[in-house]
Amino acid sequence: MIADDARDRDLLAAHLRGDPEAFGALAGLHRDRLYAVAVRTLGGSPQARDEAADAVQDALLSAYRAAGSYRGQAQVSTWLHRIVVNACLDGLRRRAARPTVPLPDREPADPRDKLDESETAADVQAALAALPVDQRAAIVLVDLAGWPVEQAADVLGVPVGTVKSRCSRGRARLAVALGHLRNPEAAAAVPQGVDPPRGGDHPPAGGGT
Amino acid sequence: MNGHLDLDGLADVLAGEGADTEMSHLAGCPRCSAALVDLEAAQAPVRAALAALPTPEVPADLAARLDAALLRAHERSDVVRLPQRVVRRHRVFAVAAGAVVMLGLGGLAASLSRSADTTATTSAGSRAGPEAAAVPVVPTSSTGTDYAPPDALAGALPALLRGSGPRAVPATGDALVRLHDPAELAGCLLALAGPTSGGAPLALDYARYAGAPALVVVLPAAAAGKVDVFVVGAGCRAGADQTLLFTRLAKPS
Repeated sequence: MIADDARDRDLLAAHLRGDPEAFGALAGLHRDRLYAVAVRTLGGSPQARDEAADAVQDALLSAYRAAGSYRGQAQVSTWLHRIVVNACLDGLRRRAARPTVPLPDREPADPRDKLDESETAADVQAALAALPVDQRAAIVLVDLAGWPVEQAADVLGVPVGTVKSRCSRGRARLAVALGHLRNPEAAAAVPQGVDPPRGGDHPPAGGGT
Repeated sequence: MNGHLDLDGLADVLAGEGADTEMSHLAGCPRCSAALVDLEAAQAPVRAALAALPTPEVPADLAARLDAALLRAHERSDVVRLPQRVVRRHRVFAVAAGAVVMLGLGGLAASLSRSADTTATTSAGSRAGPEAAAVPVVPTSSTGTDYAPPDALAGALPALLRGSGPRAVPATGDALVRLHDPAELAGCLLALAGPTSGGAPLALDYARYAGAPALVVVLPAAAAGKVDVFVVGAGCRAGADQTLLFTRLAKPS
């Protein structure tokens, strides 16, 4: 990663000196990973694929223009991912502010049906798409793109603990949706697809000791 | 409220981010402890399910779109990279260049309108009269060639630049009919070339790409001795160039 970042910084510096090929080379190195993160952050639908391509193109163009403002405090790939992920999250939030057609209800899978068969990729994709946006973005970076929690926190611009909490809450919802809990009722399942109060605002656990 | 941890609370505890009240409740509650063990056991299958998701397939045209967008951004940014000393003079030049593009596109629209009136005339060379001399006609073909894979483009380029390919009248219902309209074509070219690019195209070909109707636009390249070839979808319009393929080719001598 560190050698990759040195290479990326060299390309960015060459771009700022006016090398016409440098930024294209940098974009080429990161394009596919940025696209995968964008598609999944946007929910993975066919429509998300088009939006992801637009988001990656717009983000790389704005990175191209803003290259002079890159101060080197983060890895170049972190910086590029931050621009793409923010573009995706902005788009999703704008969409969420408008009334939309609700997703079809998906019953949580019955664990007894899952004893001998694993869920299909489509089930996992649908469960991931139904997560609150912030939880999905964290899981996409950490569990799917394989980023360390610290770097994901840099990309998302939130504390490390918040990324851990969002990933864990997202995985818990996936466990319910995919039928991996033996006793789902024991955990008072929160409504799927609705943003819970954010970190620090957990409902008080009460003084029941 | 019963004070038991909900799913988010259990998940926070599992992540090492549980609040003090949650931790103290958990210590004395068998029900919540059992739920936590259950949730912990579910982590491995959930991570395995996530890891098994296929990587999204990158669209074939993403690389071409990016290359084209970055190239255009680069050519536009040449304007602002000049040393401070000549910026002032260059601004004047940039305004003039913008005006030339506008004139170029306007002239293109005019020349295409005229060519629509005289479809029997098939090449720029046979055109006569003072108007034609003032506004060069863009060599235009309608080869219908499918340029995917794009290897054929370089070979076709000399004929396209002469405009000596077939020049069929578009059939009704052809998705490219819209781009025969000079105003629509000008919008598409503006999306492609940007306001400070070098002017009118060198050649057009109403063709196909990967089975779909597509327009080939040959533009002057910033590099000497080269031309930029864009293959755009039938929906190309101002603000949405719909580039399917971009390639920079040597200009035939």
